[in-house]
Amino acid sequence: MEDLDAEEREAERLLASAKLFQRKTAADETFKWIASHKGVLGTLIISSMGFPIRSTMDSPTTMKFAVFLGPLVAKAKQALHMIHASQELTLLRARTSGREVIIVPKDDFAIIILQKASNK
Amino acid sequence: MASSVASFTPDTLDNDGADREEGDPSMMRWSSVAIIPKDTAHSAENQRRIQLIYSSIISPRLDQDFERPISVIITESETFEILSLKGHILNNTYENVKDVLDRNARYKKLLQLKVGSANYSDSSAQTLFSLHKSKEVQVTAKHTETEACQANSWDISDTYARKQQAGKKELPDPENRDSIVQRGSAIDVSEDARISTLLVSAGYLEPSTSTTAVPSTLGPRITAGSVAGSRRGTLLGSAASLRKTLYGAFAGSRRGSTVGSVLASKRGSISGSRAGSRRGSNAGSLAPSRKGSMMGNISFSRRASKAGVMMDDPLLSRGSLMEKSSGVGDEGTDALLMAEDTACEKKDLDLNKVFGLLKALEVAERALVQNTMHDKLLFYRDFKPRDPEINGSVQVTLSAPQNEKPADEKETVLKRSPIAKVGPVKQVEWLWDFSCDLTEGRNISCLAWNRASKDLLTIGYGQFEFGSQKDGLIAFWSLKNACYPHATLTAPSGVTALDFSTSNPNLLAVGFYSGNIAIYDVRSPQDPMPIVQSGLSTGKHTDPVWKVQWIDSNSEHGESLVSISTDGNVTQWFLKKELEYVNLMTLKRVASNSRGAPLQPFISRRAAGMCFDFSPRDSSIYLVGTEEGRIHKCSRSYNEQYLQTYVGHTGPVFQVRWSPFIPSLFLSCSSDWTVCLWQEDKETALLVFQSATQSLQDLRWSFTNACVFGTVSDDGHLEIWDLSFSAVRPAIVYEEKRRLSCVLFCQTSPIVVSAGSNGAASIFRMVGFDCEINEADEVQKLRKALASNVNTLSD
Repeated sequence: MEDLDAEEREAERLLASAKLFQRKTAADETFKWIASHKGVLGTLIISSMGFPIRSTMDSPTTMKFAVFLGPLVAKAKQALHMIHASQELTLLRARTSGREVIIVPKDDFAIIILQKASNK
Repeated sequence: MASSVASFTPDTLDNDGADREEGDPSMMRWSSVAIIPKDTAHSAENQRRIQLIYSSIISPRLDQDFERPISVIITESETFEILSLKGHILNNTYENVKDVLDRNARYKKLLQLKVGSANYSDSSAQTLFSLHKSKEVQVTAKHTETEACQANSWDISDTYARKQQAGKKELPDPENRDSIVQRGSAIDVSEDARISTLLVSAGYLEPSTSTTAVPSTLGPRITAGSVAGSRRGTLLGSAASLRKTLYGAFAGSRRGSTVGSVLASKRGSISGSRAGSRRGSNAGSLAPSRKGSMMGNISFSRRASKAGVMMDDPLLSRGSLMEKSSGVGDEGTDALLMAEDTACEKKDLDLNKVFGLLKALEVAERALVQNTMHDKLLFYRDFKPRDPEINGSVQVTLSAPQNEKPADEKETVLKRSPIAKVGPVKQVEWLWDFSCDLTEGRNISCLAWNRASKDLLTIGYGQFEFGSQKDGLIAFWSLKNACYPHATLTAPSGVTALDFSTSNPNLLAVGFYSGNIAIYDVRSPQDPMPIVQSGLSTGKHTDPVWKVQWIDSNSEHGESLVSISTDGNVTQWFLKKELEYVNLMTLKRVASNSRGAPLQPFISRRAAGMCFDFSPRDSSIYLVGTEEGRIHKCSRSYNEQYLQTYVGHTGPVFQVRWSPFIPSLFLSCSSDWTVCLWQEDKETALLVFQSATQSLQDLRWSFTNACVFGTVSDDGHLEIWDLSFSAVRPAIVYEEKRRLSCVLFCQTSPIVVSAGSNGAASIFRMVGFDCEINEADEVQKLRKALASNVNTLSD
C-alpha cells in the first residue's frame, strides 16, 4: 500500500511539474494576450541596448518608442535608485490625456505597453 | 531473284543480346526482346528470358536517414517491350534461305495441325490484378496546438536580402523560369514567411514527437528559412533530376486512414490553421497557384520522421503523385524549413528562456488589467472619497450616505424614516468574473478567502457528478489581475472542499472527490505537491469530502482539521509527522418518529454527512447535516450519541451555518428548495424560507450584516435575504444562466461572490445594504427582525 502511495505521489509530482512547465513556457502566450487585450494599442519588448525584440506596432512607431523610451527608463531607474537605494524600479507609468504607457523594466529588457485610457 | 520473305517467326537475336549485361543490380535496365534459341522446333519449348528490372530500394536504417532529405524525381518511363517479334524479309541470295523457307513451311503445317488437334487447346491467361483492400486505421487524436508568430517587415527584408546573397552561390540551375514565375505570382515574401511559419506551427504536435517541430518562432530566422525554402521549393519544381527529400512527419497525425485522403485532410487542416491564425493571410490562393506551376513537373519531396514513414517505397506512391504534387509546394517549403530549424530553434527558445520575462509580463499584465478595471476596483473597495461633497460618480453617491452616518446618526435615521419600509434601493451590481481559459468549463466547488490577506480568493474546481470527473484545480485569484490567477495548483482529483488555517495562514487544507485530504503550503506555489496527503495507508474517506475546517486554533495541540464525507464519518486529522486521524463521529441513521408507518429496515445504518459547522460559542459542539434531511447536534466528547436532532428538511441538507451574531441561531439549506432558521434548543424550525424553485446548493451568513444571508440554487439564482426587510421573500434575486454552487461574502468589502458550473466566479457588489457600526446594533437588528417575524407565524 505504501508503495502505491509513493508511486501515486511520484506520478502526481511529475504531472504537476509538467503542467507548471507549460505555464512557464507561456511567456509568448502572455505576450500575445497582452497585445490583444482591450484598449492596448501596441506592445513592445526592447533589449537593454534599446533594440526592439518583439513588437506589435509598425516599424517607425516601434523605433520611435525604442529610441525615446529606452533612455527614459534608464533615467527613471537611476533616479529611483538615488532616492531609494535599496529598491529597484518595477513599474513606470506615463499617462497622457488619452494614452498610458506602461513600462516594466528589467535588467536585460523592458516591456512597453501602450494603452488607450480606459475611463473617460 | 529477289524474293522477300516476310516472316513472323521469332528470330534469333543473339547478337542483340550479346552486349547486354545481365543481372546488374545497380543500374536500371529494361527488359527487351525475348531470346529464343535457334534450334527448337516447338514454340512451347521456347524459353523466354525476360530481364528483370532492378532498382535500389532505400529503407532508412538510421535516425539520420529520417532526417536527411532525399529527393526522388520520376519522369515518364521508357516504353519497354515484353515481347517483340519482328518480321524479317530476306533476299533470295541469303545463304540460309533454304532453312528459312523450311521453317516457314513447317510453321504453316503446325498452324494447320493446331486447329483441330487435341494437343493444342486455346486458352487464355489473365494477369491477376492484386486486389486493393482499403484498410482503415485509427489513431488517437494527437494533441494539437496552434501557435502563431510574427514577422516584421524590416526583419523579413533584412533576412531576405541576406539570404539572397548567400543563396546566389548555390543556385546553379539555369532553368529558373518556373521559379521566377512562381515567386512572382502568388507569393509575397512576407506572405510566404507567414504561411510557412503557420505550417510549421499549426498542429505540428508536441515537440517530443519530432525535434524539428518548432513551437514558436522568432521573425527573422524563420523568414530566412522560409525564403530559402521557397526558393528551393521552386528549384525542385523546375529541376528534373532525381533528388530525394522525404517529408511528412507531421502529416503522420492527420494521415490516419488511407493514403488517398492525405491531401484533402492536409489541405483542410492547413487552410483551417491559416484561417485560425491572427495573421489572417490570404492563404487560399497559395495552394492552387503552386499546383498550377508544379503540375507539369511531377516532383515531390517527402520526409520521414520518427513518427513513422508513411511510404517507404517511392514507387508504391507513384500512383498518388499527381494528387500530391499540388500539396508539394507547401511541404517542400516547410520540409526545407525544417532543415533550417536548428538555427530557428535557438532563437525561438530565447523568448521563453529569457529569465524573468514571464514575471515581467505578469507585472505588465496586472498593470494593464488594473487600468481597464480601475472603476470596478474602486467600487469593490467601497472607496470613500475624503470630501463627501464630490459626487462625481455613482459609487460615490451611494457611499456618501454611509459616510455621513457616524457624524450625524440621528439625522439620517430621521431622514430615512419616511421611507424606512422600503429602505435604500438594494441591488447587486456585477463587477467582474474571475475566469480564464484554464478554468473554462470546470465546475467550481468551493470558495475561500485567505485569513491573512483577505482579498486573496481561492477557488477550488471539481466536478460534482461521478461520471464527469476530471482532475482538480485550485486557483488563487487576486484583485491585481482578474484575468489570470495569481497561482494555480493542480490536483489529481476534483477538489470539493477548501479551508485556510487561521494559525498558519499559508496552510490550505483541501478535500477531494476521491476522499483524500491534502494540506498545501501556498507560500511556494512552485512546488505543486502538498506537504501532507492522506492516502490508502494513512486513511482516507471512502466518499467525497464535502467540507474541511480547521479548528482549535487556540489549543495547545495546535490546529487540527475536521472533515466530513458521504461515508458518514466525521474525522479529525492531526498534522503530526503524517496525517493521523480520529473518527469523531460515525453518523447513524435515526429512525423516524412516525408511529403509523411500519419501520422499514435500513440497508445501511450509516447516514451520509454533507456538512458541518462548529459552534462559535462552544468549540466542542458542532452541527452535522445529513443526506436524509436531519440535522444533528453532536459533541466531540460523545462519538456515539447525538445531543439533539432537528427534523424539518425533506431532502439532503447541503449547508448548515451558525449565525456569527447570535450564537444560538443557525440556518440550513437543503435540496428541498427551502432554507430553515433554527434555534439551538428547539427541534423544529423557527422560520422556513421558501422562495427558490430548485435545490439550494450553498448558504452563507454575511459577515457584516446580521440579518443578511445569501443562497445559491441550481437554476442559477443568487438570492440575498435580509431579515430586517422581509422574511417572506428575498431582498435580491439575481438570475444567471449557469448552475451555481457556491456563494461567499467578504469581510472587508460589501462584496458577494457567486460561483458555478462554468468555471467563472462572479464578483458582485452589494448596493444598499448598510451595516451598523456597532456589532451590538446588528444583533439588535436581528433580534428585532426575528421577533417581528417569528411571532407572526403560528409556531
